[in-house]
Amino acid sequence: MKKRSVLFILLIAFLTLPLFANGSAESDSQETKEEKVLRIAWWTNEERTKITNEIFDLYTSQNPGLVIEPEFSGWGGYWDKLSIQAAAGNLADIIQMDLYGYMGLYAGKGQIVDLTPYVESGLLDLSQIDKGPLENATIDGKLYGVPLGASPQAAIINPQILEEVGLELPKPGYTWEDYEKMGEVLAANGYYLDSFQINNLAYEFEYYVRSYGEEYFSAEGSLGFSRETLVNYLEMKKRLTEKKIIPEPGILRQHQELENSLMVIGKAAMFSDMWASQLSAIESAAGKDLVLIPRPNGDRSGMYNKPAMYFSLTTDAVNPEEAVKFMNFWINDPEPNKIGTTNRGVPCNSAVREAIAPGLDQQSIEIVDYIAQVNDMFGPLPPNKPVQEPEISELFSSLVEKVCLNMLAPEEAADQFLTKAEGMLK
Amino acid sequence: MRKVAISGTDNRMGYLFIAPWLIGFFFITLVPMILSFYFSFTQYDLLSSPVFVGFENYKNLIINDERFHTSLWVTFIFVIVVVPLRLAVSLGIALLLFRDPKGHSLYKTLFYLPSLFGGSVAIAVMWRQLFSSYGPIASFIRLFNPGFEKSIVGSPNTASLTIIILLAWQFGSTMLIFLAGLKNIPKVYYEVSKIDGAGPVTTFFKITFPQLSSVFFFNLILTIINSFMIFSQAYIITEGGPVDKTLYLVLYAFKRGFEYFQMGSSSAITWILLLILSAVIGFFFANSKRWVYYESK
Amino acid sequence: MKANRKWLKNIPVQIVLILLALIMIYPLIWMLFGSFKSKADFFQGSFNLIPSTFYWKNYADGWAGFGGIPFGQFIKNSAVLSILVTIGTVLSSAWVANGFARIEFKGRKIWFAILMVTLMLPVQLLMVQRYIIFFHLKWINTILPIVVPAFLAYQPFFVFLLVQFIKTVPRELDEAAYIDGCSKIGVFIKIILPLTRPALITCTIFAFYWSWDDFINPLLYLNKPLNYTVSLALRLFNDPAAGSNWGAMFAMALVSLLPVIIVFLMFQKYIVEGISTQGLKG
Repeated sequence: MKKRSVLFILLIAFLTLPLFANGSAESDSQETKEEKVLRIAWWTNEERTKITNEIFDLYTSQNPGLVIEPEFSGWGGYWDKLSIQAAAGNLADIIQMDLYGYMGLYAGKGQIVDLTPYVESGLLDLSQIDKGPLENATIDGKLYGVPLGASPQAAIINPQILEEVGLELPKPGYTWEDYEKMGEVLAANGYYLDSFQINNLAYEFEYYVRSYGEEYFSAEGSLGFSRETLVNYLEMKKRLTEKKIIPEPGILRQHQELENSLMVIGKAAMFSDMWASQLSAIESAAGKDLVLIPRPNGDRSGMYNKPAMYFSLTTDAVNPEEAVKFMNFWINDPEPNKIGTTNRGVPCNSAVREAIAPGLDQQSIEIVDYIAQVNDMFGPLPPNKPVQEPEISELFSSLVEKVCLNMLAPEEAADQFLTKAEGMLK
Repeated sequence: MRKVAISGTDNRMGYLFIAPWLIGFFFITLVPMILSFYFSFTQYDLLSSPVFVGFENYKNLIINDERFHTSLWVTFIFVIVVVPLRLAVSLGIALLLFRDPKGHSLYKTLFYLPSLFGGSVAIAVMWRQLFSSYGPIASFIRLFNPGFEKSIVGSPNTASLTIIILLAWQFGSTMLIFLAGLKNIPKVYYEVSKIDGAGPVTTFFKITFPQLSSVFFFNLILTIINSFMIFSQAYIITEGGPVDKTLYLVLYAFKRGFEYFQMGSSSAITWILLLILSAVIGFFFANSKRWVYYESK
Repeated sequence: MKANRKWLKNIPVQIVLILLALIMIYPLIWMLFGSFKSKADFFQGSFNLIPSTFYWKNYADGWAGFGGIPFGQFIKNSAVLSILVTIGTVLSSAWVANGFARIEFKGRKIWFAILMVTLMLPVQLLMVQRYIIFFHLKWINTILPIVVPAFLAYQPFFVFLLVQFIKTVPRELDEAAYIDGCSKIGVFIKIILPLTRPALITCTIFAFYWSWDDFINPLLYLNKPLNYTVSLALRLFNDPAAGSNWGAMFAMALVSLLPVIIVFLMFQKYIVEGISTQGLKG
């Protein structure tokens, strides 16, 4: 009996091992045939996985002898994996890059390379690409990525709730005071005004200071706003929470998932800190028609049109030329963009935009219309952030939470933040 | 001659038996450990080479870093509550099931099931719902306190409690180890005890507990270690918040390493944790001779 | 009469067990119903247990997988990995534990103390260094970084657990076997292994589940989507910025639990047969 079970176990082991032996033999043979392998890493979701693979198939069918090895993972885990791969010197050839928080870091540490030589050699054509996104990917005169698409900041609002309480859709140029007044009416009717993301408070604050002509971080990497603006912001948050115009932090925490957010379940009228590209996800989750409007003004608008994702070439790339050719294909050829449309934001190439316009779905059209309508409200992109940004932003969120919970007065919180953040930046 | 071979030392056989572990230890644990110890004295952002800074990281953590102090505090409280709670629940249930009541096999499965969800995303969504202001737990509290409308998982005073309850709820693995231990006690002992006319309490303290003590000791040590190293549940449900009330040590070390790119100070946290844990575990090992009973020395 | 009294005595036990079982099972039932909820139904800012309509499509959507790879492939990958890891872990841990528990040798105490120290190292913080080692061995993109350590008893938990159990086996049994002319390896196979069966089964159950549930190692070492495991695939349903398919995720989370539950059910009945039924018979 016992012998038989040992045999059984050995049998399983022998049956299963070849499965993997096959797998590795396969990849070996690929290399021996001298096929070029291109590794591309990106963070993904259901839709993006599908269309990205279609684009790969399209490209490999046009380029026999090239094999693309996709390495996708969810947003959670993507950056952990990347930093470990970077530590070992095993990054994929092309990595999908996020502008803030990561591009500056990876460039500064020499993990991604300057693309200018390829532009000069003519392999990479940037003549049709919008200047703004390129400028932002340029650090010390070196270009560290090609933009795949841009998505402007926006607020997303539910017109049905406004109608129900007798409010009109705010006109572009409405101010923080209008925002608060709107909230008072909604609160009186049992609705929250805004259901922003609790983990993103520093980004909401960044918008707030920009709407008064300041920056969260200056180009030199120091804090770019005055104490007064910070105190005003904290006092506003406290006031809005007390008046139940925005939910208290605990409530926001339990509604973290986009599908469970107060806006989507119909208890709040708007999301004030969104990207236009999120419209379709939020509409489909809410099952309602929602409207894109600009975010509230301070003494101006603080909005910008953010290049949502870049492709960067890594230092570890085995086939840099092949990688650059592929990037060029992606940003200049209309065909991949007809597949991808606005999944990675609205393409940054004017010719491509025209080419894909006829095939756009309703939500993409709404985004394009929104951009046309508020185009003159967009300011320059914020400067790249210092490496200490994630820690400082987390400190910020935590202090705002304390203010809203009445654990700390706005003035005190402001002082604490300034002292600690400046200490970290030293 | 033979007698000597049994109780005397046998280096060759000893090392033959522990060889796989020794190889693995040198090969995949020791080098990373030494590196991590070295990192703790450096500034290291993963993307470029580490720079030696001496005791800077330790000094900063111990003297300046308020978040580290908070983290130590919440971790201690967490451990002190979770360890007895989880041990009591799992030992109690194991004792109930040990007598093989009707349906014991079904109960065992049901009690083990929650442990199979670990710290998955699904559990995170569910836990945030269960302990929300509209969830069943809040409804239950409203029976006694009609004005209650706080989010249990989102409020600073109660967030850690939800993680504690989660770990107590996932007692299955500890329970299974207790059960295996109980099953290992020779039945003869109980028969003898019955003949002697001992009651259930006497039997527990005279037979069950001494016989189970080595397994109890194991569960105690492991529960202490695992509670000190609580990570995935807090990472995925509360992300350390609200206001750092669930920022347990390993979570904080992880954030410093992979979110703030400060592997040096992250490693320093790990080594401080290791030091604290060794002291605690060492204390229990030193005391174990008094109450843990082994067949062999 | 006697049977009746025993039955009466059992009533309080049963009541406690049933109540507990309800508490334990409630969240799971919620999850099961959740897997049948449509997107609009999933969250409504209220805690609904039962879906308004049963939305079976979640299972079809989830089973369809990602990037042309069906979900079944991920289950297969996980199964192969977990079986190998479980075999490796249980065999090597028992072997090593026997050394620590039963054999006197120079340095035993020191090595055991070191084993205990490794138990206290958070794995999250060794993973960079381990990755670099495996990278230099050219093991990335294979299952070796996950399987080989298992055969080297690298999870000290199992060694410690088995040491504790082996120490409870009466020494007289070994001595009797030695007198019969058994070697140390013979005693290990003929006495120790059979007598610690409940513990070995427990280890099997844990090792299988932990490997099944492991997220970080497959994430780091398996780059090809075709080799992805269930734990990796489940995270792909979830994108905080662009929306998540919770229904499909819950559906697949439940489907992927089935193998683990099957393993548990297959093995748990053997926990019952300990030393009491076996050891003293032979």
